[in-house]
Amino acid sequence: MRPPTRRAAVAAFSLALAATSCSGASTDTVVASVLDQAVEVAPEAVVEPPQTTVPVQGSSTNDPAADDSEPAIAAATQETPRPADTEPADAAPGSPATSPAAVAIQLPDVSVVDLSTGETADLEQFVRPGPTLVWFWAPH
Amino acid sequence: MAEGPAVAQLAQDNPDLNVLGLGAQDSLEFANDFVARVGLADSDITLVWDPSFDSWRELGIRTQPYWILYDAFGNEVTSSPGAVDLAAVQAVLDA
Repeated sequence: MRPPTRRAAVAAFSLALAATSCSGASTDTVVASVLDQAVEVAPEAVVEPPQTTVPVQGSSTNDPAADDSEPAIAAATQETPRPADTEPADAAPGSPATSPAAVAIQLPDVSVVDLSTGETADLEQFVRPGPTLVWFWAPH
Repeated sequence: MAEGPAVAQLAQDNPDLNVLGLGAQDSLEFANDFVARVGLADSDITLVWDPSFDSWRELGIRTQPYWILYDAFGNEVTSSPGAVDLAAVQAVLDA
């Protein structure tokens, strides 16, 4: 007489054999399901790398961030002239170099005759800082 | 030249305004004669004459008299042929 545990073991073994025989009949199904799982897993594994590359791209988005920083630098370089342009305005109140008294108009670089002396001189030598009226006249 | 005395008076009345009379065309002799005849020699206008006409050409002056008004910062405010716009001058001086 077999002990209960042995009976249980035998029963379990029988069930295993029966299952094996069933799985033997449906081996293809089992294999197919396994393959499906494998196939399903494989794409997931394939998909995952891109997902993992996303964070990598995320880190590469740091590169675009770096790209963003490049325009920022470009913008900064664009802004750089702005302060230069605004320097005269900022410095205008206090700086004599940019005060209205120091700003002169730009006239063509030509030689003219000073009618008070008869001497020839550059036109720019007659430009004075401050509000200026240039009056164009002809002797006739 | 009717504008000559008016411009001279403008320069005398506004010592803070630099008035540069830039003449061209004709000849230097004609230019000196004009200055003497109109009575500009002793005016407050700085009178020069450009024998090359290049200054007028570069500035696009095609008729005379003509004037260009600049503010204290060297910016061109306005320009026009004919008589000077006294209101524009005063506005620049008051700015």
